[in-house]
Amino acid sequence: MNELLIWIALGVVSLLLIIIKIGTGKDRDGNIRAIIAFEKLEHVISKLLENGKRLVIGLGSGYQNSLLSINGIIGLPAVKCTAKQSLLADEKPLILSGDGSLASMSQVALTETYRGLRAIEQYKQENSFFAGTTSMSYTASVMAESHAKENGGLFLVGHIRPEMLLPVDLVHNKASVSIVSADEPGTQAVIFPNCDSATIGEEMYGFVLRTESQPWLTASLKLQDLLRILIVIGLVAAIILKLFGII
Amino acid sequence: MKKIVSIVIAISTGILVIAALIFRPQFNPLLSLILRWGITIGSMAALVGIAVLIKTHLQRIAVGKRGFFFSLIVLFGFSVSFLGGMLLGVANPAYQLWISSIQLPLEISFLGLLTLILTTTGFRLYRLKGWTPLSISFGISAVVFLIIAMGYLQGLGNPTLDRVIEFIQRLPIAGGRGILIGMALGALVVGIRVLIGVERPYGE
Amino acid sequence: MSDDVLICPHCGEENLASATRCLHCGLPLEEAFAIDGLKDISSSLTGDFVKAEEESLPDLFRDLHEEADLQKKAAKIEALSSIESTTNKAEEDASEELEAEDTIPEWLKKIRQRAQVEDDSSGDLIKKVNARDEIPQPSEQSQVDNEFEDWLRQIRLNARRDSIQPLVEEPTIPGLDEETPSWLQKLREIKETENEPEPELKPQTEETLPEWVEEEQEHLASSDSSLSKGHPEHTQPLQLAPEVTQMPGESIGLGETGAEKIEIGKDQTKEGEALEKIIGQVGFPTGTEGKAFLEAFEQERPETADLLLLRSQRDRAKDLKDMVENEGKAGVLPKQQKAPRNKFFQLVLYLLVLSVIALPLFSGAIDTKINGTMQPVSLAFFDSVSQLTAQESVLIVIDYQPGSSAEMAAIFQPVLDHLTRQAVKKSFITTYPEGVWLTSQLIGQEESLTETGTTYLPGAKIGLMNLSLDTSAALSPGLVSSDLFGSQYDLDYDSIILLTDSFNGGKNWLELVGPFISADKSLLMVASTQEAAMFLPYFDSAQLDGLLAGLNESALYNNALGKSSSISINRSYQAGLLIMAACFVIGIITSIGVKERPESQEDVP
Repeated sequence: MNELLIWIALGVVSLLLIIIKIGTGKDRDGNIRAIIAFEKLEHVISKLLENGKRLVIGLGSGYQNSLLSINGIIGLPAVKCTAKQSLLADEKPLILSGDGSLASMSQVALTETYRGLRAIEQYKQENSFFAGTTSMSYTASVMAESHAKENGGLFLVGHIRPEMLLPVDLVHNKASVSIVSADEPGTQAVIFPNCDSATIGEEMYGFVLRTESQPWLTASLKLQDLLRILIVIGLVAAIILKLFGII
Repeated sequence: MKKIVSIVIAISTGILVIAALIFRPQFNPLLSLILRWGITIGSMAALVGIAVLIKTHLQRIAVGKRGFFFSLIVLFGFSVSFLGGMLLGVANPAYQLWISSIQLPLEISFLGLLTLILTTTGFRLYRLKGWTPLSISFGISAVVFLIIAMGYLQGLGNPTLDRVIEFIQRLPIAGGRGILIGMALGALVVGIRVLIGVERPYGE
Repeated sequence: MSDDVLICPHCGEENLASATRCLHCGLPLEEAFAIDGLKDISSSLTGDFVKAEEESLPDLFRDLHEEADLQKKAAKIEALSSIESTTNKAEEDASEELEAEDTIPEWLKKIRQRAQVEDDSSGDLIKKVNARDEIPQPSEQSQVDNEFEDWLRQIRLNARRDSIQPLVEEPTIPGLDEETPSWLQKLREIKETENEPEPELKPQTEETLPEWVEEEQEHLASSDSSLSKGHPEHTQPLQLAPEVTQMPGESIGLGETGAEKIEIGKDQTKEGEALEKIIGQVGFPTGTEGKAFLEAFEQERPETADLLLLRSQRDRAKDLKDMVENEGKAGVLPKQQKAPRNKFFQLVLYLLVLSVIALPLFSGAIDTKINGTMQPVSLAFFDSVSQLTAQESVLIVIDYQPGSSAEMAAIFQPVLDHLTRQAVKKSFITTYPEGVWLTSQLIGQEESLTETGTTYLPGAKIGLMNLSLDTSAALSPGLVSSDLFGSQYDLDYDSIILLTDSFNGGKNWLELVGPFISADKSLLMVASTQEAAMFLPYFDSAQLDGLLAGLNESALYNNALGKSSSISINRSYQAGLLIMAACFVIGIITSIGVKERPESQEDVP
């Protein structure tokens, strides 16, 4: 019975997503509030392109030799978008992954992006690689790459551990910009006071840069809000019922 | 055609794993097989990533890029560790002692640096973030929980104080759980987007 | 796919459909554009084709078309006739244009008019490509004009240089390749003859100077004579270089190349100061030209027109030199105003923190019992371990990274002692490869232990899912195995103790493996202090049977065992927390009244 309920719940959520997407149509922005961190990211990317610097994108670290959680792929749209915007730039973005499969996916994303722009010769393998097998070695790699002269900013997104505060502080000392979008509450608490801009909570899912699938992203965010409201109603109802001794 | 194949594989694998997790007795062998494939593929992806990393460092050395000396050190360390493990075996106590003697101080020193940086955070928090409600609540809560974590107040043995401290210690749970619920919802929706083929992290 | 792609006719590479220039070779893609229904644009200029097109139009449109054509023709003739100073070439162009316009269809004219008004249909991407490739190509006429202007200025420079000591060096332009422009070659030739005593050239009787040169001489002579300080050097007539007889064919009024109004900024360099000295000697021009200079410059910085020309020439040469040198390099970046970081203060703070933390460690190991009572979660942990008997087995999961090993080992040590006291059989499993030697370090502290071997569980989360499958299959007693890498798990344990330093690690175990552990078996956790709060809900919902978190709780656990703890580590830990709290408080106090970090510091370098 429980399994059936799970199936039903998944199906309902999927249907809701499709219904909301149809309802929003091609609405790219909707009424979603602007997320400061990602607005800043757009500004940073433009400035870096003008100044001939490059952006270091850290896609997060995880356990060794394993697939990350789904949050690890949140940064891939940023990779694609940055690659498109920096097509004519002097420096291409540098993507550092802390997981082998994520590194492969980022390379595929870059390749497909450049191929779609008919500029596949601009893809270089050295711009996206597996930076470290352990979280500490990944941190050290990000620090080393952030320190390079041609890097002007750091964007961390995905499964970010608290020790990533070290490259964030290094970037801060260089008067560069750091934007962090972590999935762990502990990491958010540690990095928030030190970076230029950070997402809090589930803001990391509101990646509203100009991607092709943005209408779906808008619909997803609305679905998240709807589900959150339903959960809150359920919690409040459960508390009230518990208070009255019904359950 | 290649895109369609990858989409079909991704969607079918996702649906199969969910079905197998839900209908466990019937799908156990199939799920176990898929999971073992996943472990193997993940490990191979890590090996491929390591190979790309080595290639990147070799290119830096060949080109003579600035900082290529550090690439030399990386490759030297990797070669020594890899060859040592292959020759001596990872269960060899001498090999384990050797690796631990290098890795342990390095990682502990990183965490020590982290501690020092967190210390200076207290000084520059309001200079960086300004006096916003978020930063004010952050600072005050940090001070309160640091004092509680020292354990002096618990050592006084006052039952009322102990209850108050327990109440305060449970306060972050509510906010943390709320954030986790939101993250879980976000992960759920992203997963559904992957399942229905809208989100394609494996390609364009 | 072919519809989205444009093949470059020059290099054959693929480009986006909206591109107007090829990304690979940079040449325009106009030839690749073809208008449906029109095979050859040039052939459309023939009258027969236009007539055929017109015949297909409805009568009304045809009348309008003819009327519009007639009106345009009349307007053009009027415009042409009103122009007085048209050359033959312009008249020919106009007539050609008129003939061409007669044969160009109306729709094509509208398209061209719209193209002039509207923006290019190419996207931002292609615009950037175009912007990069757009190099202004001056017309031949303007090039000649510019060359002539530069040549004339050089003549004046040479003339003045004879009377004025050269206080400012002419710019050298190294690095220029062999393809130097002709005007630069002339400059260099003039430079070579600079040191030679220039003969005083006078216009020969056979070759008369053009009027504009004479006018210029008179003008300069008049300006020289009216100098406030009246230096006689400037009364000399303009001395022309030998090349003056070879003048370009085109003559341009002197007024256009006259004194340039050069804006001198307020930030004068040392050269500017040197020029001021020269000006002080030379004097300041009067008349209309002098007034113009007075308006443009500050009163305390008078300069002559020639010296201004010298500087402008030098500036242009410098710009050219910079452009040539910086070709292909990243742009010059403005200096970033970095926040003045007080590194000394930072160093002092770091040393203070380190000394405060390290001091208790050097004060000697004082074993004593600390005061306090364990939290309920720790008490539950203690009770669960106490209920284990000698016949039972415990699986200990090592799920922390080496950096946290010191803390985790310190927290787990009392538990290990307790398990040893209970004579429980221990097995170890780890999800980190380093866990193999971490376990060795952990159990190496307890000599009485008999190690049953440490198993590495690959795949982390997926490995845990796989383990949960085996676990569910092993709910009935017996040996079940995961034959991956030849390891076998005996999952029939009475208790599982999880050592973790991250919330995600503990969550994975609790949510992936925990539901498949039978209710009579306990799942306990040892965690670091910062993660303790996040695991409390699992304890409240009975997913976790006990939680031991932090060095304090570990010391109290030792108390419960009747042992004393070394308080030096505790004191060191407490000192670190105290100094961190102090830093926050001091930061709050010192930041009162301080504004937020200026926006400039957030700018991208």
